[in-house]
Amino acid sequence: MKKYAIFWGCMIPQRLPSVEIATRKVFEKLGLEIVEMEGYSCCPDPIVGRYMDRKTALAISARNLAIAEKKGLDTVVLCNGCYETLWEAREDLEDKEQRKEVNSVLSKIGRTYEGKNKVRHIVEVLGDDIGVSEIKKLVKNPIKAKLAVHYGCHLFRASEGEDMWRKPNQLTDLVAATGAQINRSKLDQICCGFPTSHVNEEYSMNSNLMPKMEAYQQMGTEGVVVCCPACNVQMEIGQMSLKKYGKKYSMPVFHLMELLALSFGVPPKELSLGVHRSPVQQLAERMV
Amino acid sequence: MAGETNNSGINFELRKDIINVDKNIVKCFQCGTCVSSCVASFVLSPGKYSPRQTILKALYGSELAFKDKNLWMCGNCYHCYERCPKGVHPTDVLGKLKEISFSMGQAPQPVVDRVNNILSTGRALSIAGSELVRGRVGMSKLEEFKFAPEIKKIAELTKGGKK
Repeated sequence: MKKYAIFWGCMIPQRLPSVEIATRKVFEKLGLEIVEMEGYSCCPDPIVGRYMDRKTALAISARNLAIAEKKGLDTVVLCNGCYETLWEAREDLEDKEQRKEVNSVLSKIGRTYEGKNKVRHIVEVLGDDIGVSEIKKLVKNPIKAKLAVHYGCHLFRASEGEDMWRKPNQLTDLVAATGAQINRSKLDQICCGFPTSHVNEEYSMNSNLMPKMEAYQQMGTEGVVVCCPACNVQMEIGQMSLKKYGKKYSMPVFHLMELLALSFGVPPKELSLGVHRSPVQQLAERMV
Repeated sequence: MAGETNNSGINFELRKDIINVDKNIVKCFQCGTCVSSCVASFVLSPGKYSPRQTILKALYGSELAFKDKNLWMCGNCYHCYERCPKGVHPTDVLGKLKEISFSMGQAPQPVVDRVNNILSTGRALSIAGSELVRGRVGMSKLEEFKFAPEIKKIAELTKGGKK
């Protein structure tokens, strides 16, 4: 049984535990084992928290990576934000001098980081290790709905020479594999507005989220699939905040893992979709 | 950031710091590909946000580069990073500027609050209220983060998170 160390991050356990439930079901169906990363902390988040101080942030990230490394496993993330922070930290720590510096801090708390393992997004793991064709074989309940795919900014983070569309395209392929019809819009790449919502709510709502919602509605989109819990929370809470600006939407937004679990035949009731702040439960019952 | 700003508004230390982050920045010829790729520029009203201008200010070592509150509108989407014909990494430059902005006490209050939360509790969000969500799906209450002292120690050793 192949093992993966899953980095749950902050958003999933605290705001969207349904994603954790769905991930466990999907891994079970795929015959993969989840290894817990005991003692992980915030990654720290790439847009706000990480700019506290480079050295501090790098040491916190290295501490997280060291937990998976001790188990000899790659860190697999379900969140684009965690992906960016941890991926970049790993990249920076390839540099021996920086690693030495970070290790001098980590040694004081009884940890060490060698840089042996990788950081991977769940989209990559499913696309590369499992393969879209294998996923297709497991689909029991083809999804009958028109869904939009929201990639999320940091999914575009790519190594030197790697196609920046590789992971976003994998995400689209995975959604298509469940049988869903994909509604594309030219606003698919636009940020959900989460990173800027702390700094300027009006901008984040009116300039990012509203045009996206407007486009989804015009195209008859029934739901939005994301691969990041922060985008998910922003798009759901954001729809509630948009009422202030005189706009009413009720667009279900949910995580890729929930979509996969539903298509693999997990009954919607077992997924606790009620924690969502958008009508995901209703859509789930309709589309499978 | 150390160093004095001279009468012409140039801070050579800032310029050095920026070039250290991204050597390619000196190759910037202000073509504007970053602006046309930028999703923040796309949705903000014209002229309100321009990575090209921020890069120029940073190159000059002008303090205006990190004093601009719109700096925090960048969502790190990496479109400029990928598309720059000269291999400049605007995302890294903007990141450094955000870091400087934080250390100079210019960061917006929510940013400061978030950092304090991470350094004191180890989590980006407060766990208050999360038991309501988790309880509804039959999951156990989250425990206080046991390893918070480790995070505090890291912050202490690296002297981070102080504005």
